[in-house]
Amino acid sequence: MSRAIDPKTATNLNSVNLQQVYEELTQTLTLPSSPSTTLLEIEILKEFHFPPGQTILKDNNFIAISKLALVQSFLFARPRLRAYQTDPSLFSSDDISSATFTILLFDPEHLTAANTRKRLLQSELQRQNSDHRTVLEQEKRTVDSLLTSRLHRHTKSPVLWSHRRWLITQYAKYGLSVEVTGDIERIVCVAGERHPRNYYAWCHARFLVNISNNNFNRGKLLEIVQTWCVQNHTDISGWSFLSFLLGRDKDAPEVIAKVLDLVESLRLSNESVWVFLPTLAAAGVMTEEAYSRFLKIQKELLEMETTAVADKAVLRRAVEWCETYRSPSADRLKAYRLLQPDTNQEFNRCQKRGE
Amino acid sequence: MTDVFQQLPEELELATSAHVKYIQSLNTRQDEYDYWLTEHLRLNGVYWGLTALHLLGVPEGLPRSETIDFVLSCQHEDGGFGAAPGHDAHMLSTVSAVQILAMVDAFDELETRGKGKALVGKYIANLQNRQTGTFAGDEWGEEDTRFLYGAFNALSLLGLMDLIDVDKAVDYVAACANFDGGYGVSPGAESHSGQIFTCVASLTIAKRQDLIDKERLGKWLSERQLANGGLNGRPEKKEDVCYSWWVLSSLEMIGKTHWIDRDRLINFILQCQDTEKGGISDRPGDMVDVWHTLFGITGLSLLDYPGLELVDEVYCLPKSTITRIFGP
Repeated sequence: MSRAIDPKTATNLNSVNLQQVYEELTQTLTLPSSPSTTLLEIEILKEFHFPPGQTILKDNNFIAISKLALVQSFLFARPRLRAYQTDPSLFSSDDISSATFTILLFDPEHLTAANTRKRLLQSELQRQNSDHRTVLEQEKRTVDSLLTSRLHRHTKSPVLWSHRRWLITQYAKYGLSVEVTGDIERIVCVAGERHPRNYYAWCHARFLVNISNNNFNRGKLLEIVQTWCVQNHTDISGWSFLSFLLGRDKDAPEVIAKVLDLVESLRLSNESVWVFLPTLAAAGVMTEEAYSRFLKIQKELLEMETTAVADKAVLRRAVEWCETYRSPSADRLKAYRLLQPDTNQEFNRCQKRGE
Repeated sequence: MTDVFQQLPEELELATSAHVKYIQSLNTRQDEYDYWLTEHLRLNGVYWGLTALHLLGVPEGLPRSETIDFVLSCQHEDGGFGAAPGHDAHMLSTVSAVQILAMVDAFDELETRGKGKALVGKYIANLQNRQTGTFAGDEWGEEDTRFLYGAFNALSLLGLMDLIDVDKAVDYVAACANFDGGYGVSPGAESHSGQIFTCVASLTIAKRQDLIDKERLGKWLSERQLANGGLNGRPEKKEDVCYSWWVLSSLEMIGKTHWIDRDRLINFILQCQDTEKGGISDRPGDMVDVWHTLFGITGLSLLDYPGLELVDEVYCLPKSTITRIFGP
């Protein structure tokens, strides 16, 4: 949706109904209490989608908000946050939680709103008898709702992904487990579909793997990611994350063989696939057998009339590049030892820093 | 080279005065929705606008005294700067503050009216992870090579590089090199043109370009140019004018600018202009903004477009500013 505001909306931005709209919005955006994993599905729509006089629609966890309602709510929330910064006693933490959520819904890059939420959470977590898991789960569902909804800017927002990263460090700090595979499947993959080539979403996936202390089902994760990549085969970020996983996994040859099968049968000749495969070869992750298949498939695709001209150039470049940069499998461990961080390092660092 | 520009139709010239007017008008939109939507990056926006004005030959385009006042009003007690008054301090806005003050030659006012260079240096240096060498953006710990580059950029301008462990940071950047030739936010991350710029520029500032596989990187970067002449940031992404900076400056730093077709890129950038109201957008026909206006202009400057001041490919500041600070 464009950031521009049309004249009709602009004239409706008067102070009379700001508080009313804000209160209706914040009440509507309350997370359902059960089942406890349900996220909100939020959409921002143009005015003509709504019945006359209505600006917010709700159907269980599906919520549609008009752009007008969002702008009005923001204009009410913003000075509330400013006032709170000057005098925290003016508002309860629930008040500020609503205000900051509204601000982030309007502007996902509003760092100060996100940091205010972190400060509120920190106070809550440090209270005696605080139920850490409940507090953290609630916030995770809130940010996950923003990251997986059909909100173009939110799904890729570095501020929101960083907020989630900090939340997960709090799980580690309070000795709570994180579902790595589940989070990647339900949050990263979904955000990755909502916003293709979602750089920060897939960075977050790497963070989850690194912080996990190897405590997750690698086979299952590889299967989920490999399937996602083939279904979203023009998405370089997915393929790049698959490379990241394969570089540290003894089952890499099996997965690569499966991927090559699918590339051949689906006749995938697009650039992302043919950057992913050569990069694996350069990383020394491809066996000789796999490399021979790679060359064979490239030749088949080149010879097909249905392969686009641009893709043929990509295919040729892929093999030429490999001739210079391909690394034999034996070098793999050496190369990766030099370049990859200790998988325990991230986890230990969070524990030590006591963030 | 001049022949190419003489052949361009009128609508494909740089609409300099329109762009100047557009940038100058941005600060006056106090009541507009768009102004609120971008408050979280106001200081960055001033840096983008001011740099563009300098390159367009209008360095006095924003009032100097008010600009300095605004920058200093964003400074926190710990020396760091937020994006606007009332916004939390962060590395990115701190770097923009230092870059703006560098351009208007106001480091002395930072001493007399602000919290002083030393405290700014301390704020930045405290964000270094002394174990790994990289930098966080703020106290909440997100690490990204953008922040490492920001630290190198600002601290070198302030003459305070000795406050950080440069060697460790350099090792970290080297560890971010990927097998495809690119660099990412951290070791093992996806290659991305923006991150490539930050890593290459950091190594350039530290005089460690010996660590770069320039051939491999150059190949990856040269593949960013699409049929329409524009550059993208990663494989199969759409062209975007801002990559005229991230990709082009990286190529310039490793001496491989000639690996892309310059004329077609110039043509593409010029088509992204709004020649009437001013400003440049990400691709032809889209809404303009000051970010894309700056990076379209820096791209043209790197390509020696006539009438533009030279931009420094490492600092993304006018070369005249860099010469004044570091000497010729």
